[in-house]
Amino acid sequence: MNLRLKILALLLIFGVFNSSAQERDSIYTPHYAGRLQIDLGIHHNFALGENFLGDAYRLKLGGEYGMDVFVSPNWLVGIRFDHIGSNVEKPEKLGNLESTRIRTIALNGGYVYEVLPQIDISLLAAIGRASYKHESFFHTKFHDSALVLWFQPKVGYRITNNLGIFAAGRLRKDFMNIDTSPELEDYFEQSTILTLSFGVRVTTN
Amino acid sequence: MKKIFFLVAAYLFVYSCTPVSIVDNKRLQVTGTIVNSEGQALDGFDVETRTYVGTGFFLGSPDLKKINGTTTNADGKFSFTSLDVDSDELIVQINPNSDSLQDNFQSLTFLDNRSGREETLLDLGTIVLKRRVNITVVFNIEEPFGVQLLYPNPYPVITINNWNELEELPEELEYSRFRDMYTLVEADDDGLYRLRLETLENSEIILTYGVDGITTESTILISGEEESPYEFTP
Repeated sequence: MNLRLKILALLLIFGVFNSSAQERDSIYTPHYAGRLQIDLGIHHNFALGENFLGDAYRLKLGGEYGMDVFVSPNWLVGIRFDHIGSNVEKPEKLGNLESTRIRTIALNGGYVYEVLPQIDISLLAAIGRASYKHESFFHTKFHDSALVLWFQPKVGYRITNNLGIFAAGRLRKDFMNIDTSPELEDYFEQSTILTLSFGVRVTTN
Repeated sequence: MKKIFFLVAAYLFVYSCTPVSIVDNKRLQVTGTIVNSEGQALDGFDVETRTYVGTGFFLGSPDLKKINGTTTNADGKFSFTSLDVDSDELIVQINPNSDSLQDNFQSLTFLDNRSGREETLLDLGTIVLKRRVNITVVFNIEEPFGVQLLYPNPYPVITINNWNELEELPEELEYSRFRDMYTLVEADDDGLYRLRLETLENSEIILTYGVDGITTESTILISGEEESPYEFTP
């Protein structure tokens, strides 16, 4: 596992249990317009389908962080940053690459339903832009860009009023901006990523 | 002043450490079929895209490096994905002159030095690779003799301006397909006047020379099978 991700995971676990002990008797205030929510998480990724990502890569752990603001008790909007690492398994099918990292910035929004005072379920959708940052065997950096859409059901559990954890699944579609021959278009046109994530959530009072 | 010097030095360093500029958001497909002079498919022949690497200030003289490649299948067909290079020469080599060279066949190089090429499909069509032959011509002369030679080059470099018009290349006008040279034929240690050439099977060597002030042109037909020297009397 990437060292930064290990540190992030340790901080998340430490933070959750430390706060849990201190604020066990907090009151869970319902969500309201203007409330801020910050998510920090790590995720495991699976490339799906017979496209370049599913065929020639093995995706590694990734990380996400983002901030949302409630526009009403049940609706929120926000921004997400996402990073996915990868191992290039078949470089020759990609034109010969050494490494690729996928970085994404997206606008996020969705509906939140509080099942219990400390548990909520959200259905989120996002639109954004991804940059597949490659390094060639000449050590030259270049990139492919993509329009990103994703759908993400998420479950949040508040340990205290301000601190909680979340788990989510995410189905993501990347519409690649790669110019290639008609025969290779299907292969390079789009990619699909299934993501399972968990992390820590901080909300304002 | 120091700041300007530092900035210029930093720019030169960064520039020199970027050996190849690869085009974002683009993949080339290189495809085609290789056959021999008899039209039979050639299996196991290498096809590669290459470019010159190391043209930066600190990186010394450029070196021709492979971008990607493949080998032909039993039907002589090949197809592979390649990165594209910008402001650099994109080279496609058939049977590249390297360790893997199928040494009795010629090597063919397509050179595209255009910046910002738009093609994504480099379809080379059907390529006929000829066998290379080393021949010796023995001149029946008694003193050194100057002669102009024109014969097929076993390692031609063909400059490409449009990959979609590859099949319309006028072969007879493609200068790089031929070697055109003047040479002085001198006696070997045994007193015989010989000329050794590497060319292609089923071709011809055109010799142009002057005798008594008259320019004469003669042709030697090369079958490619015979190993005995060709004899020539001006």
